[in-house]
Amino acid sequence: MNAAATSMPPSLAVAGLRISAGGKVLVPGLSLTIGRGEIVGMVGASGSGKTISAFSLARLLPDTLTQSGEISLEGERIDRLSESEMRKVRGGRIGMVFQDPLSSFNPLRTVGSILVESICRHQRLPARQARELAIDTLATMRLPGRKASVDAYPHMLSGGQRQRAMIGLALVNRPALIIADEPTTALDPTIQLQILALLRHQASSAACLFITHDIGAASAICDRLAVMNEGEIVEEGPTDRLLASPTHPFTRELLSHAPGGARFR
Amino acid sequence: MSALRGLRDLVFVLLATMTVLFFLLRLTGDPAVVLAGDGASPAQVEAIRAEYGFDEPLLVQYAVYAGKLLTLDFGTSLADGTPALEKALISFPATLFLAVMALSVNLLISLPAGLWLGQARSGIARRTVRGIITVMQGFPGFVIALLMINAFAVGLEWLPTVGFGGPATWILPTLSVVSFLAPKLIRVIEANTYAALTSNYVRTAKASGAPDNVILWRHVAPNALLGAIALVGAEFAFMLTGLVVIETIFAWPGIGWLLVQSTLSLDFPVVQAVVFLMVVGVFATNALAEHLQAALDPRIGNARGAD
Amino acid sequence: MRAPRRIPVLALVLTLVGIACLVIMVFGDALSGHDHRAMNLDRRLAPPLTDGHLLGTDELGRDVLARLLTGLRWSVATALSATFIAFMIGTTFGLVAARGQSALGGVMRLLTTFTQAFPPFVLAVTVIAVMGDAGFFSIVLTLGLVTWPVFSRVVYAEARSLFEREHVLAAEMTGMPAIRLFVRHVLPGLVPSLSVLVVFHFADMIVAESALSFLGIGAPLGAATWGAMLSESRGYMLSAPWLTLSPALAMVAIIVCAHALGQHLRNASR
Repeated sequence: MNAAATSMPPSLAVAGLRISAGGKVLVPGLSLTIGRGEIVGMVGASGSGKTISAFSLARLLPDTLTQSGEISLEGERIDRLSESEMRKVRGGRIGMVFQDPLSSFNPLRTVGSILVESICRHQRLPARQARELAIDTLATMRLPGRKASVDAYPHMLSGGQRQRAMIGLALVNRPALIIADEPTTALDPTIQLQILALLRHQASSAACLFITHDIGAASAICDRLAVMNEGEIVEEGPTDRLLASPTHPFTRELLSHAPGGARFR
Repeated sequence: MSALRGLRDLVFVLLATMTVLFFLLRLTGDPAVVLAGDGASPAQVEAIRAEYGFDEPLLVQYAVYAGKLLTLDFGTSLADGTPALEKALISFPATLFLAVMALSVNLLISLPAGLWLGQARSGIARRTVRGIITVMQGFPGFVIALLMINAFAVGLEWLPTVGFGGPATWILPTLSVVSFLAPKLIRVIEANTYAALTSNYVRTAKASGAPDNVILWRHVAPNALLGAIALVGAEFAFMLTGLVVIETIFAWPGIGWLLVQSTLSLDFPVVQAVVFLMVVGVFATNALAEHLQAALDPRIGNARGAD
Repeated sequence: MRAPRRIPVLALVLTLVGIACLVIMVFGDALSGHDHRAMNLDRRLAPPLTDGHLLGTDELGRDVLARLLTGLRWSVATALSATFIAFMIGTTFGLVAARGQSALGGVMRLLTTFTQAFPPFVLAVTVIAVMGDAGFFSIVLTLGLVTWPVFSRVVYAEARSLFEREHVLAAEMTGMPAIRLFVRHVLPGLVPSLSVLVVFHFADMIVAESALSFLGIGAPLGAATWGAMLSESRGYMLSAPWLTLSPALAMVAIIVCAHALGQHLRNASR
């Protein structure tokens, strides 16, 4: 994996990312690299700036926040793209998984139609083939009943099933980068594990940025961890090394507060 | 299941309404005196009282009345002897017509206005429109009607003031009704639009690269409008009963106008028939709105099916 | 961010309007320098600002401002009283139904169905018209009696959820008497939505009363009410538009103020 990473540009390279709200700087200057097939966990307390940093990569911040800095996706500077070019990146080359899968699906649309809408937009497939792909994708995400789940409305699915569908939506166009924002926080602990395993398994060919406040969940699937506090990455390193010998006091504090820190291992 | 419950509710409401109305009318006015007319001698009044059964005990009268109600027999108008229900039914289409026109114009104005306003909180144009809507909400419908008659019919002489005869006479009544229904509907659609735009599912749509027009028409608008169906239904139901003053102002021959005319002349059978018709109309409208919402909202449809 | 600068202006305007209403309620047409009943057939339909008639005179030479002020007295008094009656009955019934056994809850549901299908205004029109020369108390009583479900509906729904809150349940379990439970734990929770409801209901009652007197139903014949003034002005729309505009704008002003206050209370309670 390391050999491959050196021969081609990393999936994601961020340098000097700065986010501010009015005059207030929320993220002063963030730098981060994620290699192909690598899962990086961004861990921190709520309000540490991890979620807005992740959203800024797809330029999805609300109008009240402004961002600057270099963002390269597979070597291409996507921060320079126009809004319409950026729309092709979102959903196409960057897939996103959100925290609350119920409210994140339009209640009036079937889960399948949301996938089909995205497939048609990014892959220019005819409707019938798009639907086939949506069915296949949901089946791969182990949603029950091939045809049944594609025509299911979000409220008919369980929380875990909705999150699987959400991961399916993120992956359906084979993105280079997956951003998962607290994908398991709203779920039962037993289902959390299944979702993490699914994410780990399905995201093997893409880079994945995993945002969480739960260092236990992060350590279960991440190759590397980046600990964030007050808008800055205070410590970064391979998961094993960081868990075994944290150097920054904030990391130690985070680890000591983790509910059953190593329960996923 | 739900149809049966609706029917049961309708029967209950009709029974309750007609009972309340019966006792209120009997306790507050003497129909025999009205029927006898001015200058009738006490003997004449007594004769009429006996003829119509007004001399019986009130409960006996109520039993007779309730029995006739079951066969939809409201008696005849005290004014001209035509069947009361027929008189009410003849007036109903005019009210329905006004209500449908007002509903259409209301939707034509409120849908785009609400969707447009909901897309941003600031901006001079939106602030101005919001200010106008706030002031409009302070205008009672009949005051608007008077002011518009003043401006367009009397002042500028563009439109006929009153009556029911051809498109020119439809404009002012319709606009009067719309002027006080639209602000409420616009507000609700605006709030729904804003809520939808800031919702998580719109964020999902953005994250999968949806352009603004897809977000607006395929994600925001359906949700915003679905949430307004209940209000549209309530507004329509209101129009079937609440246009009493507007119909009177424009001499619009609907059931609101008939209600005032028959009430002022103490023509009880007609009043009862009109109220009966109003309750049925409101009930039908509410049921229709409920079913429409259930048909369009998969969440409700599913809950129903699971019953 | 902007809010702190805007609220005082609104509060100031509303306070001034409130004080003005209070002054008018106390002094009535005396403020205009004319008796609202005094006719002067030599000076009919005088336009505003002539001979000490600030808002002109009507078709019988009566001072419009004097009638307007008397009308405000009548409108505000009827609307306040009707709101009070509806509030008292509706709140009491809503609380009892929320607290009581399921039978009352069933009555509540039927009542909701009933009021949804049967608009209060039609009932009021019929009842008051049949009563003939109704006068203040009949109007107030009728309007209050036909509109109280507005309050009971909201109180019922909110009180039920309040009764299920933990601190109320806890208080109940310690054996607190029902009355004290209401006063200490439930009523305070109802204040925000009830105050909003009261203000909006007041505005609705102003409209309802004016509509009634416009139809010639309710207020005694010849009384200076806004509805009657509007009704009488219809013959003089072209020659004397001030007859229509004065009561119309006064009514709109009071309703807009009430709505603004209600909106403000609603925002403040969120």
